[in-house]
Amino acid sequence: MSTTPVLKAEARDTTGSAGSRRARANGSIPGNIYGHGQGNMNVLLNAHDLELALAGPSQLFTLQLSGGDESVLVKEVQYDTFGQRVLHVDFARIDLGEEVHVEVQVEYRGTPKGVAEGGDAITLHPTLSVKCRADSIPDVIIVDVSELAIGEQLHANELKLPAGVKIDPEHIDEGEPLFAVAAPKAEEPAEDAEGEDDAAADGDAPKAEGDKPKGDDGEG
Amino acid sequence: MKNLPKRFKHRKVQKGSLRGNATRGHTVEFGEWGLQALEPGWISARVIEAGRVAANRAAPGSRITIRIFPQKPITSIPAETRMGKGKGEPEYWAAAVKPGTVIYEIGGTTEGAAKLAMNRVAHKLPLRCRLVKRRTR
Repeated sequence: MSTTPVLKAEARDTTGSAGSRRARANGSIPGNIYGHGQGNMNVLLNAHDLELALAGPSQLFTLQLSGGDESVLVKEVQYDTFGQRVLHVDFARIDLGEEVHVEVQVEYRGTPKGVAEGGDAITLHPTLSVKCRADSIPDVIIVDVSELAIGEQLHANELKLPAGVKIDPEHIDEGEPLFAVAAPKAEEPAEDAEGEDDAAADGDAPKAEGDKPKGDDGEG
Repeated sequence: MKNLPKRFKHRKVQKGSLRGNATRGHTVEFGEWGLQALEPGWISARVIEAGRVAANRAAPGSRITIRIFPQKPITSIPAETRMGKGKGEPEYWAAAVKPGTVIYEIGGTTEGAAKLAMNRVAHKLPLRCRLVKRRTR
């Protein structure tokens, strides 16, 4: 587990889109802290510091508030349309000793044997739902997939997880495939060519009979 | 593969507006990489299909997902036609794309192959695009 980022946060009085927009213009990001039976708290964080912290692997943050430090877990991050600027962030209060549910990134290492034989590697789950103590959340789960042959799968219960980390059965079945090596698809050059011909021949123009509210293709 | 509406309410529709950014369909959901539009524009069914074929040829065996659908009939009037006489006839179908929309997604392949495939596709599209990676947080 990497070191826990420490961020300064100050209480926020303004709410709503206009106040949030002004805060973003001043280099701050609006956020919320909730959980543990306490009320919701609106906060402002420095945009640069927050974006640096979010770029790291840690999911656990320490927020320095006027009333003291709080350990929080990132619950949701909202981004703009292009996924570049953080708009808002939600934090959940936690005790470091409590068990939490988190999504941890899975890194599949190695080239599967089946891929060398022409198979296709398919990542079915880029992340894994796990339960663990808040102070021992793994940054990444590394899995070696180099032994997988064509038609073989790596299931969730075959992973060697770090001590104290277990799969969350509420979110993922233990037999769920995470990574697979599929047999190569039969190449269909004729299909591609046909598709192009179809498009050219039809001209893609809407046909007059489609004018009716319900078509008679019998598929809908 | 034909990528056209099976039925529709109106043969001809108005031009509409592409003002603003996409508020839906702007994150990578199905693959590992996506091609995101940076400009507004109409993408015809023929171009969408050409992009799919180009991606399949550049990265055979990968999983390509098309996130847009050509629902808009585009009309045109013949050349050397006098003014008036009403709206032209439907010529083709197009998808109206706002900036931020993820147009294609690709998965089940290496990063290099995905980048190559999406680059080939981007050259076929009538608007600027960029490659985006699926976000895990």
